[in-house]
Amino acid sequence: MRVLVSSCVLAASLGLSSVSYAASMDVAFEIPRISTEKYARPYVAIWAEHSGESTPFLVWHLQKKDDEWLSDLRRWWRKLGRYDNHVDALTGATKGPGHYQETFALGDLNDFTLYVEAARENGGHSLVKTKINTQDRVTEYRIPADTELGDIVITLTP
Amino acid sequence: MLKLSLCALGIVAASSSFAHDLMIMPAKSIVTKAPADVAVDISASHGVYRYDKAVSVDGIMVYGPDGKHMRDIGTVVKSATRTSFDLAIETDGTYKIVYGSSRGGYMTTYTIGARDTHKRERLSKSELAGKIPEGAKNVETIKMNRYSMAFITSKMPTDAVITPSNKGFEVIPVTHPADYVNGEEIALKVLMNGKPVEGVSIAIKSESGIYTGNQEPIKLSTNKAGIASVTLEEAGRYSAMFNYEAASQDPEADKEVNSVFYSFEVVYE
Repeated sequence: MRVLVSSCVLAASLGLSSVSYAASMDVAFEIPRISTEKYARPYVAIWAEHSGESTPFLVWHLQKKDDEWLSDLRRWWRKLGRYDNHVDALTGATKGPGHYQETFALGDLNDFTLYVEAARENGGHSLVKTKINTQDRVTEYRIPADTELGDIVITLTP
Repeated sequence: MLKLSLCALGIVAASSSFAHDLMIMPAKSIVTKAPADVAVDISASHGVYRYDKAVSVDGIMVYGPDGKHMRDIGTVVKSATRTSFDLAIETDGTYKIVYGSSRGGYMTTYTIGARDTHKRERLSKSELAGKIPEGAKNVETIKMNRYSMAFITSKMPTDAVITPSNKGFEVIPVTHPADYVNGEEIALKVLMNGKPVEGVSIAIKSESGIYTGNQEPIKLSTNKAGIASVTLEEAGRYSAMFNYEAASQDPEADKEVNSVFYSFEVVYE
């Protein structure tokens, strides 16, 4: 018991010495309104990559039994989709233009690249990213807008 | 006779620009998941991703994700410019499609007469006696080993079809064909009976070259480890031709020419 207590204290002091340990991350993003003849709501995926591994956070796609277009989220498909590694992620139906905000638990992730990918049928494809390090005292990260994604604001919360 | 010599010309000229490139053209190389059908066309063509001449139905071999030869690939149609079938993908994984003639072809070339006219015959060394004229000069017999290959991956990539058999001349993807992305390195390895081959010449042509006006191939050569790497900045469809000449191991020929045509797709990211 004493051993356990002392190791807990050690862990706590280590935790304090590292500046900030973000517990979760808010990702606020926009699906822009695009004026086109045949508008289809885009597929969207959010995930983190860190030292060769990927952690899934979100995927919005057609909620059909056989969704044969999932591989159009090309990088997401190669990193997660084709291995079925997104089963624990937030999945949902595709959504139309608007502002969205999702919160993800970071677990022990602290140094990673956050990716956001969007692909629209008969339309464009956007793949954007930012490096995030929770030890850097930075609590807000921004990714400028691309064709299929508006500005993205990422906020870390302890 | 004319037909035969035209055909022979196509085979022997593998290393020259007169050759027909063998082109396996799947409608797509990445499939989300089984079951799915993928159209596959095979043609002996003059251009990249173009159709010129149909190939023999017997020369098509498909290997499934378990690495085994699939006996039944359904109906194969041989039309004027291409040979086609729909590959029924029933299990996820990586498939390999190969087209090559089942028998190694022999070609003897010689010159004859006062003008040193070039002649070719589809003959091996032991078949030459009495078949070529006396006084023939510069007689050389080549053994042709020529095939084409392409890969299709449904969902998760598997490795059985990219594992070397260590028999004969083989081009083995080091970077998995389902991971060819613009701006990222693609590595390939060449083996002869399982041993790395240095100095294999590789010419990579892009389909987009037809439209951009730049049809100059990218030229590479394998290193000591038998490996060559390339980073393609543009996504699209490509054909890589591997060519390697060596002294013949077969007493029926003086030298052997190994040619592999590898068509593949690079996805954008």
